[in-house]
Amino acid sequence: MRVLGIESSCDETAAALVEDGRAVLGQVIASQIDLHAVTGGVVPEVASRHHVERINAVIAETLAKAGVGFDGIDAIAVANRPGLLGALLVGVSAAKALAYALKRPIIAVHHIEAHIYANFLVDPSIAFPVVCLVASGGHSELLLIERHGHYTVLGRTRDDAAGEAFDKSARLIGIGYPGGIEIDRLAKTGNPKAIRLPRARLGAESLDFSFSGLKTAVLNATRAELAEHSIEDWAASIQAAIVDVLVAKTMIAARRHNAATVLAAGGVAANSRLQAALREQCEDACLRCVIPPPPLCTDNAAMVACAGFYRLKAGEVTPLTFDTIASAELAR
Amino acid sequence: MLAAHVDMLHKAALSNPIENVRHVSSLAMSQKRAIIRHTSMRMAAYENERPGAVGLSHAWPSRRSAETVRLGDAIGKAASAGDIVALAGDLGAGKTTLVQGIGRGLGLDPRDIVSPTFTIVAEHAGGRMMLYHLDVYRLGSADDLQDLGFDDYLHASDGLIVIEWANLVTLALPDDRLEIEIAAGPKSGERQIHAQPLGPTSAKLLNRILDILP
Repeated sequence: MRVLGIESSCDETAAALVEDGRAVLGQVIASQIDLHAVTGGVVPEVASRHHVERINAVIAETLAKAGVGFDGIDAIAVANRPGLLGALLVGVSAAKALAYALKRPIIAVHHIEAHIYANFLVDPSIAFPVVCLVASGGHSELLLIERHGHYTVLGRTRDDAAGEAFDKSARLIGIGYPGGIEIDRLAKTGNPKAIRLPRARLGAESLDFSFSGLKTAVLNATRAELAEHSIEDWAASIQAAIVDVLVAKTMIAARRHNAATVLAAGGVAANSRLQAALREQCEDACLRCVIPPPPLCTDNAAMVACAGFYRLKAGEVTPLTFDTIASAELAR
Repeated sequence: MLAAHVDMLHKAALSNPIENVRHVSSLAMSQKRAIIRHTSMRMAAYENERPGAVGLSHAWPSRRSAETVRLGDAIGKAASAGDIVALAGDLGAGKTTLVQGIGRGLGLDPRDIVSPTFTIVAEHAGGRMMLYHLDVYRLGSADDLQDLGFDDYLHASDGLIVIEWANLVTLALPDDRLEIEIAAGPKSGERQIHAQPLGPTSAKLLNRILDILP
């Protein structure tokens, strides 16, 4: 089954044609990264207008890359929640129009579920139960997945998302916003133990996260303290403070729930320290660990197609009357 | 290639639109002061209407985040549908903490309220009215708001609208709003939370807040 995935929930306009939830036949991500660089990292426009301008070309280019026409699409999957309504609406409208015109089934997908399924693109034989860390600019959650489509939220952030902690700390130490990727790069030559920064454990039982204390600690560092250590040491210390808590809690969750597999998803899963630490600790605990390659960690449409494929395979179809939803928990 | 890219990032950081917007905001200050003056005149009428009413502004000290939450709780309890709260304050000032309190005051689970910096908008149902929690940190200017359909949120009549980093988009906001600025207090870790109504509706909101938390 060839599923066309469409993603437009935030900054990226993306489409992908994926066969059987596994083989990416073609995909396009129209990113605003060029604009980010020009304006110093503040998203100049997450406007629906940008998505409108790009969506048709993105879909056409995806099909061209896959070497098929519209008749090569067996079903359509689209992220309809959560996200910016104006942005979501563009992808959803395009998806509905295609489904209606081509007489193909459509499935509405939760954006976080799509992130999780980036892992199934990499490895469809993932064994349940799964503990998955979802960490991105907008989300930080620990999930227990007992079978396809069945989620229990084990923990989540109480304030800032992990990716936001990276980006805002980066801004506070003067390397611009968003600087998460830059922190990863600088940290490679820095000492992660150079500066003592807080790690919020929130009690032995809690699997929740909190990153606002870290932000405040970096904020309260005076100019003199900032200058005392190199930017590389700051980057490495901030990265360690965020990643250590993410990995520690993921491992606690995996042990507590006898996970067979540990997954990571979302933009922060592309962080090199997180990948190394999670793989190493899973190996020590004799657990399988799957993390998507970086391009599949950040927003893309192949993950939407994959998540849609598993729901369609289970016999689900969404009626064409479905809506976009700004804020939505991942269904339990 | 990489060096060139980093160089470009540094240059871009120097001409950061957030800083540029600050200039725009400061240019708008004269306009804002005019509004405040105008509002103060209108406020005089309110003071007659309600003895002891504070039409101008109020400041609360906050020594710890629990006190910021308590003020938020009072705002949530005092809010009427359609009220607009515009928050300002640096990174780490406690804006999201205040909104968690507002959520509690509205009858929401404060744990559901997290920073919407990345998602820009978070809608919370399940309290005694909707809470529209907006964050414009990632946006460069007021122009971008229009494309986002921001007006729809600003004129929502079924809930309270709270905007983090509202000072970045002053010109795009309705005149009648309660501006709340969280600034550093006299001692390290302390905060001073200053509320300024800019119209009759927000003045009433401030009065109701002061009834709960003088």
